Amino acid sequence: MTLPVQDLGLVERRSRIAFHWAAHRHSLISIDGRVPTHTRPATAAPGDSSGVARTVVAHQPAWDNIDWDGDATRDTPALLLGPNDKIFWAYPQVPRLLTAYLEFVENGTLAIASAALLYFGNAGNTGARLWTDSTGSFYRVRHHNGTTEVTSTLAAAPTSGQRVVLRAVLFADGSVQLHQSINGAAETSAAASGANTLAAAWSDTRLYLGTTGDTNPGNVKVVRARIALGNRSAAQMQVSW
Amino acid sequence: MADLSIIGTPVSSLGWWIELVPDARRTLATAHQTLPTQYGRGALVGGLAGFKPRVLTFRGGVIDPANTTTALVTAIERLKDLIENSGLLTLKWDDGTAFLREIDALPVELLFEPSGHPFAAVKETLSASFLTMPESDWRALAGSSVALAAAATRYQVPLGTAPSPAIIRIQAVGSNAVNPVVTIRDAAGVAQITLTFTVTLVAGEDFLDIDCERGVLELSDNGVRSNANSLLTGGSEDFPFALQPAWGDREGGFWPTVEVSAGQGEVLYAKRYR
Repeated sequence: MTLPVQDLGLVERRSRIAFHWAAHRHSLISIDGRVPTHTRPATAAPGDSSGVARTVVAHQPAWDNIDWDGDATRDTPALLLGPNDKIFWAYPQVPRLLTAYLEFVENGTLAIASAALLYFGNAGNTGARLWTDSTGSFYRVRHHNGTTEVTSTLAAAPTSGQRVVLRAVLFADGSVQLHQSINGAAETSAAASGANTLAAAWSDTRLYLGTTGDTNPGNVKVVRARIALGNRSAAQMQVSW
Repeated sequence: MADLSIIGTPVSSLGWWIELVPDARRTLATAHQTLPTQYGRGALVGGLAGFKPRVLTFRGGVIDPANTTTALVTAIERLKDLIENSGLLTLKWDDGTAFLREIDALPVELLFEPSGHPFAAVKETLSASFLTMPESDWRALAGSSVALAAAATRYQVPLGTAPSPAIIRIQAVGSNAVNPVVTIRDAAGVAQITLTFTVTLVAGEDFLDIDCERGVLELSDNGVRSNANSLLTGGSEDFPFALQPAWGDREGGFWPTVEVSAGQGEVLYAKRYR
């Protein structure tokens, strides 16, 4: 008797949350193999593991090794996204209860009003979309359903070079709330917004880091981005894929 | 307390407390073909006859704070789901130091056995075995990078205890880089790998990826990527390769070096450990 061939579908790497990308392997590809579109028609100047600066040319990912854990060793790779970078992955999810988690090093985005960190939506920054950006002084999360927008704005802000974790929650009623941890300290939270009816779909199935599509670039060193369905705690988002 | 994370989730958070990892630091067992010497009193190594893939077994108690059979069964089901349904797993090993390592693996067996006196704790012992693939060496959790900030200059690449495939990326900054040659030398300065490319990299626009992780050569021409195999006109027999710790002197802190004859570049890699 010939036995059927074993199903090897689970040999591939998988992510069990909606999206997970991390810089630690120097790859733009997400944990489960999604290949992004990345452009940067300009040079950039990241640092290596020893802190030596180098120039990288157009469209070359700028991997910047940073000291994330405060032990004076630049052992954590981060992706430097400056004013000329644009990167997005496919994100085939509809608006629903979710938690968006972003770890990064503050590098100038905060001082630029409307500069974005993480954005679901289309290239034109229109229609139904969800994003975290800066007021120019504080970070906030914004949910626009195509007609109405609600926001949740923090009251504390990091300084340049600090390690930041932002945890944004989109609730089932369309309200949003932003939580922030700086340099590993306990989270502080902004007040949740009012409700805002969820649209049937985002304006495009794209997830951007560092811009709102083609506009509002920031300047940030991104270590990790995770999107999980449900309202997940900081502890869950730190460890769960 | 040593802990294991599976695709990012510490197993202790699911009630599995690792107590024993008998083979975490064990190196691969290899077998060599041997030939007799001319007078039959010795052996010459004729090649690698084979090796056993690395199988890691983690053993520890499974318990739930509720200390009930129902809670224990729930904990077991969560562990089975995480381990059996997550595809190619990344295992992270944390032994309480800053020396975090990870390895990719497939689960091959989960063995649950009753453990302890039922009045003391509702507990079972889980022995989980994983076949590491495609690599058998541990990888530093965080990648490293070395800037090749100037042409014709040797830059040291610190390694772990196992060979590390790397991405060497060459680009032209300021002026075009014509026909770059990449040379890997041992700590004594002897060339071990020499790759010659016939290409002009346009300043500020082009870069060349020598990707030994994936075994591909790619040219990025102002953002448009293409196969660059035909550009490698010397040393193709050595590609792809891994940077060898044996080319350095770990005790002395000297490492193999990478240099490019024209342009600048970077080396992106993760240290590997036996």
